[in-house]
Amino acid sequence: MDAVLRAIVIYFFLLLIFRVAGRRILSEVTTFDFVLLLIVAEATQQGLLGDDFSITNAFLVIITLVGIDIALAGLKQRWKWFEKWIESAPTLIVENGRPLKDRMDRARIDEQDIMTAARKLHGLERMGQIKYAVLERGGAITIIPMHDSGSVA
Amino acid sequence: MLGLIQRIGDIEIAEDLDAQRHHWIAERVGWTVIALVIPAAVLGLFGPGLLNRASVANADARLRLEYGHFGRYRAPTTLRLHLGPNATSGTKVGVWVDRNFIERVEVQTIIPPPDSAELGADRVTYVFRISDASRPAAITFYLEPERVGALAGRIGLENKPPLHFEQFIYP
Repeated sequence: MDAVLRAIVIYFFLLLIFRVAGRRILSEVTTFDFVLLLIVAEATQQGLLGDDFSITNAFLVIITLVGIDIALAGLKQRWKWFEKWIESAPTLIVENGRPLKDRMDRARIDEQDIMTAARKLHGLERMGQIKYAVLERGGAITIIPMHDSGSVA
Repeated sequence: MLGLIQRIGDIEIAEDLDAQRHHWIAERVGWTVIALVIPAAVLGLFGPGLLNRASVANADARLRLEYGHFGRYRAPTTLRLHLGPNATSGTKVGVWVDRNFIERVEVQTIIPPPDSAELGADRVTYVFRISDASRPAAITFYLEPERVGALAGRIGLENKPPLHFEQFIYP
């Protein structure tokens, strides 16, 4: 009972924390983010296992975590509103070369982030060459270039 | 419509700005909570810290207990009992703790170690040897709470009114 309860509490706590931190926080993992992630794992471990070092306890914790994950995936499939709350929806942040400032500010994205994605994905040079930029559910930025890429200039 | 793919300009996207705005608001509420929890933890609302310190004393201040308002499940915590001068007479002092409390914590060590322990119906009495009862002395109980929630206890000297204290144990 204890192990299942611990796993449930930790699962939803982490879900909440990473939800609050925003979707971009782990979309581009820097070295430091990675180290931070390891520390979070380390800090979680004790609370998750308590001082029961039996294999049974580990099994129960793992099964519970995976079980919640499967259940949530099922619920997300069934109810779209639920999915949106757990994972959010994609958001347009550039339309026809025009950055949508208000949305970018709220999502804590600046033009540099968008241009980085544009260079990396399509080798674009200017904001004007971006037809659409979308902040995806996972926090990545995807870019759709203008069809003629404005490459005449 | 919720979550349906729609067309905005040339792009088909399941955008939902209303939900997105709610998310952003929820995010900021979350940040506020985090910004409040961290200083609260530093101050001791979740365990050791300034606001955690508490003490009770009996009327003549011969007996004073220092304890923490907040403890955590299976995390070390201490009770320190200060005996004022002449709190007792003789070479032995009996300190009792009510059984209800003692059953909800694990006593790690008692410093100084008691000479003996006696089991009563509703209490456990620890007997300490004391060299000079006219000088102040202190006894420290190192404990780990084993139950979550409100935890009330009584501690006192034999044949004297006890001190009451209350703690809250976080999971």
